[in-house]
Amino acid sequence: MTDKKKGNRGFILIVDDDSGICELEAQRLKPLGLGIRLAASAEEAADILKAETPELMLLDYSLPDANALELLNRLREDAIEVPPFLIVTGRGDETVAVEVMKSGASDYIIKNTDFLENLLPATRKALEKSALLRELEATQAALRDSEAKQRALFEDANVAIFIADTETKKILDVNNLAVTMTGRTREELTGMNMALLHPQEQSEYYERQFREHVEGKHASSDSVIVRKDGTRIHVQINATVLKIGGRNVIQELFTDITERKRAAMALLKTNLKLEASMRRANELAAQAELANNAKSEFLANMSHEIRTPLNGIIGMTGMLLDTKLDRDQWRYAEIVRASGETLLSLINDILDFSKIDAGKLDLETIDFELSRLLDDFSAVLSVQARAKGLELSCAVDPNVPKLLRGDPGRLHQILTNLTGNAVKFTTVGGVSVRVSAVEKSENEVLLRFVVRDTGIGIPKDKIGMIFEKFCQADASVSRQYGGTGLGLAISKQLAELMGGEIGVESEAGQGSEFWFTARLGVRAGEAETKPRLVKTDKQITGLFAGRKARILVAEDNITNQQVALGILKKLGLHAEAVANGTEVLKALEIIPYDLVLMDVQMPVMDGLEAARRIREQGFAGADGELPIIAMTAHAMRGDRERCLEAGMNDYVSKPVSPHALVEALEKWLPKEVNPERERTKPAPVFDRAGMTARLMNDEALIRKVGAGFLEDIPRRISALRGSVAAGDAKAAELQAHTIKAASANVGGERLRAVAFEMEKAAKSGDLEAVKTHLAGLEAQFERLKQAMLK
Amino acid sequence: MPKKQVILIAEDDAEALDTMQGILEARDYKVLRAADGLEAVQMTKAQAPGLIIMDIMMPRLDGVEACRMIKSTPEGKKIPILMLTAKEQVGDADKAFEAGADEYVQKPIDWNKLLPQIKKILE
Repeated sequence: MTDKKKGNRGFILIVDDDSGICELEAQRLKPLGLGIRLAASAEEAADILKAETPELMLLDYSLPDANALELLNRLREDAIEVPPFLIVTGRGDETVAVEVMKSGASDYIIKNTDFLENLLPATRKALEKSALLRELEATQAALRDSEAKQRALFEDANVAIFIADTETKKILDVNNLAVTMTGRTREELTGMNMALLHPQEQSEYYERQFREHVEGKHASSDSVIVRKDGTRIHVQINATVLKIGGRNVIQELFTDITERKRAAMALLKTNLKLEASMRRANELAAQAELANNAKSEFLANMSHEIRTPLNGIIGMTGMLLDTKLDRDQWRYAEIVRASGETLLSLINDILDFSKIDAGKLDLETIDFELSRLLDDFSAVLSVQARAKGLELSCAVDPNVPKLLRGDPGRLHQILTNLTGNAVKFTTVGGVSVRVSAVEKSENEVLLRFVVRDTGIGIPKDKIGMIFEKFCQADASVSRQYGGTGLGLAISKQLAELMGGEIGVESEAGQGSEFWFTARLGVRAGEAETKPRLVKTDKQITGLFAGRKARILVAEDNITNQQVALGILKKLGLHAEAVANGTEVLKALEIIPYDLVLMDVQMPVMDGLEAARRIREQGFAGADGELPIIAMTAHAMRGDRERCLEAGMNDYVSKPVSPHALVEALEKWLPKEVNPERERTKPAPVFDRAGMTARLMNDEALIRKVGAGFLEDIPRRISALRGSVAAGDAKAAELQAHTIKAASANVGGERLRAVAFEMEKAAKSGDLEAVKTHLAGLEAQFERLKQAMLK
Repeated sequence: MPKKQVILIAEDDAEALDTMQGILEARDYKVLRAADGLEAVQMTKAQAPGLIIMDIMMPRLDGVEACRMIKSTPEGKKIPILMLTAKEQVGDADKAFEAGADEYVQKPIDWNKLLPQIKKILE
């Protein structure tokens, strides 16, 4: 319509053989503002239509050369576009009217009296209708166009698309790639169940996946499809649920991820291989570590095995020397003892060296006083020096701090080594030791120790190698002076471990000056002024004679038993011996011992276990806990901690020296022992009398408390177990405390003792120790329960 | 009929608390229960008992702290506090007294001794 208002080329073709009518019609249609063309015959009309298409054709039914229908047929045959048209017929030709309408006419007009009146409205209506039709057609064309584009997108998409019914899973439509991907024809696919695309063994998985897609739980998932030829493809599925034509369909987009998967698998395989080799490497490392540990273990064991008999030799020789001997006998025995001691120091050297070599030697960090250390050291060395007629002097510069932190044992070792060498290689003159501070800060000091002698000196060409292992300046030297040649090498390593250095200045025949430095911690505070006296052999004889203490020695080696008993006898103490932990416990049940000297390594039940049981059962000493002193031949660090953890109070290292034993006994042996004391009866499992008295002999109350206790404690034990497992020391402490209090309340003394041990351990944060008592706790509860139910 | 005397017991072991409550109620005392030190402090404020028997080791707030808090108020100062200590923990009695406790009793409780003690305190 808009076209015509612009006065475009649109026109109306009037086909009628009556020129008068034509004129009248043209006249009437003028208001439409369209051009009018006239054709007087079918042929003339066909000619015009061949060239141009009018907006509308007014077609008289009866034409001279053909009727309207014939013209329309002819136009169609000749593929001439038929414009929208109105048929004009004579009056009463109703049957014709029906026929023309069927042929596509917009309307028909009857040539009656109102004909001219009706013409304009009818034409207008026809024009409007045709315009509408044209628009509709254009829209449809556009739609068709867009649909085709959609389809093309669908077909040529680079993912395979399957559209299927959500209920039946039947495929409704697929695109080209779906056909290629599955290796099936479009016909095969259409109507096929989606599930059949997937391997049979995965049908359950796929069913679930499909449901989840339909329910919208997952939009995407990985799956496998089987092509028609049986090959498999990994696909990633992206699903969308659509509503088409009132029914739910699912659109699944399959992306081939076989390559991606393959790459991932390859990567995974590489990673697995890598992991395997890492594991292998770790295993090898672990094996190496194990082998190294085994070596250290072997050395520790060997040292133990050698030292045990050696302990016997040295100890018994010492005892022998205390008896009445003639001069020759005394000389022989003295040689045996000296050889034994040399052998012992050799073994210690070798063990030390191998430990340092394996990086197993950890330095201690403990508080010590330098003056005390030097006293100890010079007391021993001066005896040796005096024996050779040499003078040993020891001087400390005033700027050297008195209170230090570090490893006094190892410091002592270096000093003894250097000074011992100095004494050994000097025949005339003396040996001097001097200590000075090289660097000093508030918390730290670098001390320099210088040991000067007037001995044989070291030839220049040998100086460079004397700190090497197994080296003495001259092979003949070792024959003359003895020694492993490890001493200086160990000293060097120890000095370095202490952050220092070692060195020597010497000229053959002019004496030597050995020095080393060590970095040590400095403590604030006053040094103890009271001098400590090292007792002589004479002084310790009968030292404890006044005390009527009873001591139990647990030691499986008969010789070592005799050594320990001999030393104790010399000290004036009465002692008895048993051979293992089980015997210790039995003996304690019978005799109220005041102290136990316990070997760590024993058959049947070792010293650690025995100590734990003694603590669990709550054996008492003269005042409080029964003191237990470990005798340990182990040179490995950590033994001391293990002994203390097991509940022992102290330790002395084997071979047991009278002096070490005196120190320990002075500390732990009760000052006053009541000889009337009844046997150190271990705490009773169930002190019924005590409980009865505390609860005022109220039988009903006693029963109620007892029953409540027996019901409550298993819960508490399992709660405690839980806290230990969870690493909650605070909770464990509280639980152990509650168990302790509840046990005490019913007179469960042994259970109380174990719970108390656990409470203490938990309080110090040592959950490992708490753990070791768990089994004992349960065992004691069972015993108590039996006793209470009796 | 005289009004019952009120004793607050603070003890985290419910089993032990039951026993104590049973014994005291049988002797016509009214017992208030607190499961830890914090409850004890709060209940003391609200109920003003005639005597507090308090375990020294309790979760959340231990007996020493609870005792100190109660004794720091003018009202609390007037309430006698009897601290239950474990016989193994030697220093506990000192700690209890330092915190202001009036008396201490070692666990396990010997009721032959405790009952007359309570009676005397409440007189």
